[in-house]
Amino acid sequence: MRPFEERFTAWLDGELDAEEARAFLKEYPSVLEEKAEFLKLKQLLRQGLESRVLENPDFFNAQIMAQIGRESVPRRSLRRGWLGLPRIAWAGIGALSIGVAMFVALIPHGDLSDPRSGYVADVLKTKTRDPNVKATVDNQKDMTIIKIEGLQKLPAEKELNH
Amino acid sequence: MGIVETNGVDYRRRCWWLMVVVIAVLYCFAMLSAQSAEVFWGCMIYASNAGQCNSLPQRLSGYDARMSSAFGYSRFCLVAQRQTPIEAQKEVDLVFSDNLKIILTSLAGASDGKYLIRLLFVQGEQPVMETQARVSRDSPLFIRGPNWRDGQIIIVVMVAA
Repeated sequence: MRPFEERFTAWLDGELDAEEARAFLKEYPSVLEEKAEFLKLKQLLRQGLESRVLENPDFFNAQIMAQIGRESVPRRSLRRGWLGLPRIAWAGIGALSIGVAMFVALIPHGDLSDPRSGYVADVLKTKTRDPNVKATVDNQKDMTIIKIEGLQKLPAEKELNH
Repeated sequence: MGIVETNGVDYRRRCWWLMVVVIAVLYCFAMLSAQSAEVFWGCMIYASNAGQCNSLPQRLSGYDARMSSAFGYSRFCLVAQRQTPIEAQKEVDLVFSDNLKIILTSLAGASDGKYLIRLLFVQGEQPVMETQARVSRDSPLFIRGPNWRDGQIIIVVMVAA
């Protein structure tokens, strides 16, 4: 036995044979009213959903294309603006410049061709505790020597390595 | 359209933040490189004209000729080499032998990247000489010390990386 909904749909669509239709109407006499309402609704829908022909199809299409064009412009400009090759190149140059500037400003260095060019050893003051001991400063190129004179000679037999 | 603009603004903001972070990281890296841990290094060299060995420490490579000219000796023999990390507000010693040591009594960094140091040369138990010097990193300061055997003791100190 088919359920009511299935039989009702088949009856509405006229798919029931005459004997089945009679039996269905006998069983459910109120469906006649529902069929009338259904047909009325169907008629209304058919009237309301009729396709309308556009009066100015070219203008309508042009408007849509213009709208699409406007929406796609910011995205394109965004990509070109931030990810485009010129910007990346400028960003690279900028980063390199910052790196070089920081290297020059923050890392102490001298002339790279001569490792000793940054030599600084300025003796500002020397003082000896023993009046018999004298300290003098000899400033030479890349070499500053404090010469202490009058020190006790170390015993020759003594090994110096600690 | 509005969504696209909002996303664009967010993207730009993120880019700026990223750039700021990258610059900050680069700055910190540069600062760390510039101020990497310094050590107080020193060595004791026996200078003579008849010595068997002729060896200078790596840090003094290239000084052979100048040392020969300045001290009047042709042979330089490394006897001892010491180094110690520099700690702020703390004396550090370089003990080369029972009889000789150098004490770094103070070290202050100057704005030009140089250091102001105070040294004490000690022979035996007696402080013999006190000196104050302005040095740059990796610049050796030579001290001509006492005579020993047929030659002379030379102490070299430097602030090194």
